[in-house]
Amino acid sequence: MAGFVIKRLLQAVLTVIGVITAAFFLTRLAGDPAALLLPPEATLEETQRLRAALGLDQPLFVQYLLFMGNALKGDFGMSLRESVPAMSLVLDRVPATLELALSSFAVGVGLAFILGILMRMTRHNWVRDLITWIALARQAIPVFSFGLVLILIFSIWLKWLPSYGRGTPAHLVLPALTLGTYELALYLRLFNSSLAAEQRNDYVRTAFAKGQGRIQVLLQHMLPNALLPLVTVAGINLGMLLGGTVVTETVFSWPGAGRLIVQSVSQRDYPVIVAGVFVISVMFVIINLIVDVLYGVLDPRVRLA
Amino acid sequence: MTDAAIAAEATPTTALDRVPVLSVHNLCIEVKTPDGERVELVRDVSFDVNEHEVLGLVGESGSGKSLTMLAVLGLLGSGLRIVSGSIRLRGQEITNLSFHEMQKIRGKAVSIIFQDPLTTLNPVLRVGKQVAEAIRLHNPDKGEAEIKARVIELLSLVGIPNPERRYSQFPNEFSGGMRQRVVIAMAMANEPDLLIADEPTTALDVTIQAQVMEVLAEVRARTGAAMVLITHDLGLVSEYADRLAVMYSGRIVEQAPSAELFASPRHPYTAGLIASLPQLERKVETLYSIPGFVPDPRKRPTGCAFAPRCAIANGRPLCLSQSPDLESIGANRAVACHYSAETAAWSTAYQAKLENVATETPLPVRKQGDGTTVLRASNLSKVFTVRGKGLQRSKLYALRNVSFDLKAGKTLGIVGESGSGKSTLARVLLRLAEAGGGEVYLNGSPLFSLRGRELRQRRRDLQVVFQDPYSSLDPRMKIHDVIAEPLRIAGSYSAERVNQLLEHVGLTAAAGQRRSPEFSGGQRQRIAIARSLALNPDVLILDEAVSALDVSIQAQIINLLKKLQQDLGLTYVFISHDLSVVRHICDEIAVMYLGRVIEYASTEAVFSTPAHPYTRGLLAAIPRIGMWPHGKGLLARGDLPNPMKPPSGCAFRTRCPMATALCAENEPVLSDHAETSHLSACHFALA
Ligand code: SF4
Ligand code: SF4
Repeated sequence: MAGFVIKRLLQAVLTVIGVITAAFFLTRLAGDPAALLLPPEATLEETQRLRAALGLDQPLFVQYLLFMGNALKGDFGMSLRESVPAMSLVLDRVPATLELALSSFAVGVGLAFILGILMRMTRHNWVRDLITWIALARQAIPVFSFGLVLILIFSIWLKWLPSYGRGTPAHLVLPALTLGTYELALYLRLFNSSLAAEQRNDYVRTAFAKGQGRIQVLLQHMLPNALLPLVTVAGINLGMLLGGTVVTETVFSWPGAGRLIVQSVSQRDYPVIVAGVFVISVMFVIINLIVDVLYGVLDPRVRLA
Repeated sequence: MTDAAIAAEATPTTALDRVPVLSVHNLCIEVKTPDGERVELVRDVSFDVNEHEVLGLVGESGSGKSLTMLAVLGLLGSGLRIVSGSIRLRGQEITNLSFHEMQKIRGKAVSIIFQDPLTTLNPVLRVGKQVAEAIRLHNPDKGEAEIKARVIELLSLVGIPNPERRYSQFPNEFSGGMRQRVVIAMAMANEPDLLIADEPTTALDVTIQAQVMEVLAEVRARTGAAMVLITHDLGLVSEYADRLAVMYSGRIVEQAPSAELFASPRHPYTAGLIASLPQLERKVETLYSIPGFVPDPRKRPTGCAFAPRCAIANGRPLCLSQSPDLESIGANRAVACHYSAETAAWSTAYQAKLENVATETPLPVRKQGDGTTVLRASNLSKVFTVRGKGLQRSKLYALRNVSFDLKAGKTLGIVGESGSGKSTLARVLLRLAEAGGGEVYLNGSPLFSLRGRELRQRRRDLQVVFQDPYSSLDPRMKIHDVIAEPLRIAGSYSAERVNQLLEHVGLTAAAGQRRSPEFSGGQRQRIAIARSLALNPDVLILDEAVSALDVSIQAQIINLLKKLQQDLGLTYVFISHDLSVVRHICDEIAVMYLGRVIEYASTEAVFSTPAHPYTRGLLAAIPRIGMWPHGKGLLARGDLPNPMKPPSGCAFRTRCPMATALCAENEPVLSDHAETSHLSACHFALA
């Protein structure tokens, strides 16, 4: 197991280096930040002075080496818009992003889990149909519209929950619901089909032949096997949630890292972009690592191979 | 005498013993197909199983044998239901019990062992826990420590070494044979009155099968449980069952004590099955084969379901109009056939014909049997590098110095169990896998040295037929096109040629217009053979080509292969785990163990005077009709060693009943110990 983790860590480091390298060159391709920072009537000389100050007059390759050297020390440069280090700007936003991603993830997986079991256990077909229908209908509505509908109902009409910003747990409810239920249909279908596949396995017949009841067989035998595919997909999704919560963050004015990166892109604040990409990719590979380890814990075949 | 019979004699009969453990009466099971049609899969089945008795339930696939026993457990799948009839366990009617009420009976009064030990255990739960569950469910007042002690006792009872350590391992740390022992331990946990064994050893190698059947007999003798042994293997039931019930198309067609059934079958189907079974003791030129195939249960013929295939029906109106009832004949026997009195005459006549063939007619001369070597392998080797944990790499010697020399028109049998390297050999011969060393000569040309066009030309002379006729044919293509494919590639397509090929394998040109899903397993294998013959090959590699087929169909294909060999002068490499089939079709045999050929001789020599202890163990392990008990002392012990770490010296020594200190030091070479052409690799080979 330890060897496995070390191997995965090495892969993770390489992945992160690759990602920030790509981010560095892409931001350089996007255009000259000096031109954006200065007023349109600035002289050529002024522009060149600024470029020299920012190190932009060096050859691209030298710029890259300098950048990587600094990055190793945790220094991603100053934000071009606000005179603070880019990294601290990003790190300020990380807790908000994590909070939203994790809570909506919990909502999605938790609901899928409960509803999936309910669908297996119920004797009534209409319950199954209803759950499937609701989950699908939810997925058909874009995050943006669904968020606005929730604001309309719970903030404006009922006045139960705040409609924007971050602070109390009450602030979290609507964004987490909006984002979490979007993933629900996917998880539910996956969980359901893997439970159905497990049902056909011989060990299920064996368990019944021992005299076990339906619920016992479901929970003790089928569930541990059926969780495996769910863990894989949920892991990938959690990673995507970290970077892809922008729409939700915008609707609910949530101060997350996703929104920061999008703003920085429009302002060509490239140190912030690269720092943000770095932080998100680090979180992404950590989650993947956790998923792999979890997989080994759940499935002895992986662990022993 | 079987262990059950010994146990029966030792126990005095009490009144309770006279109530059958299981009594099934007029059981009918139906399935509702998706289009709402109701089809009867089990029809009017009745039988009793008595205390200590082993009832063999025999039939080919689709006969309804497994369904009947699943009904006894109340575990029929969705869509299936009992329409009428009764099932009594020790006199208690169970067909009207709910799923919940049956929970108290399942695993307690009745338990079951399923076929494939690789899938019957839950892969993510520890083995000990899974056995413990069976105990806890029916003994809620037992403490954890008590349960664990009982599990360990059970595991050692079924012959699992180190039960304490094994308790907390996962199923994938066990070999197939060991897993089946765990399943037996689980089934015996609450000392059930009735044990159902559904093809318990079909997925196992024959040496392991013998061990597992022995364990099963031992644990049963201890508790006196009755058993229903469901199988397609006539040899197996002949050895282990006291009484047999033969099923065909959902009905029991014959019931009799085991010895009587094999000595004088009364139903034409039973007689046909026995005649079509390749047996170790005899070699016949052509096996009897029951014509046609089992009818689709939706389109059963009116009258007797066996009528279209029956050797004695002769289209008599009674057979075609009226389904025969199961009627008792004599004290313990019953048969469902209008003309069962004629079966004995048919069997005698058939037997006489066989003997005539054997004594009077000389074997037909084969077209090309002129003694030239067609296929020669010299010192083939193949090493796989297997990735272990981290950076660890281990070497697996799948083939070590395999050589043989095959003459035109002959058949070489390659025999071995899983892990022997026989499938790797097939792949290497076909160049599907690159050999690590050695050379194969086909008609004198070195195959491995050929490149490009010449290789493609030569390769046509060497074709293959695989085991699974289901996956090797494209279901979307017409059969005509399937067979035409190699011809088109070679640029020699003509419709006549395809029709001729179809005719060779006993199919009509019209069959070419249908697609493979419309054909049964046996017919698909015929199609696969026709395709392999398209380019007029000299050599066919038959890789377990008849292993997946039912007995009656298997005989058809074996006969077809023999006929084709005679007509076309083909040379075969016949790879199989089934020694009875090999005996029947091969001229020479190479027995493999852990990548080496350990015995190589003519078929007659291998069967009459096997020289290597492994070959003797293999032969002793094969269940056969009317022979029991057989040389138990010869059986190979234990499991196949880890092929990545083969034992020093002789690779077989960990399982050999004759091993000495010398065997651990020196590896025996394949040689002729008695100046004959009978080769074997053992220091103490019998000449
Ligand atoms: S009843 Fe007729 S068709 Fe059926 S097995 Fe007997 S002889 Fe054959
Ligand atoms: S060499 Fe020894 S261990 Fe090997 S088969 Fe012969 S007697 Fe057995």
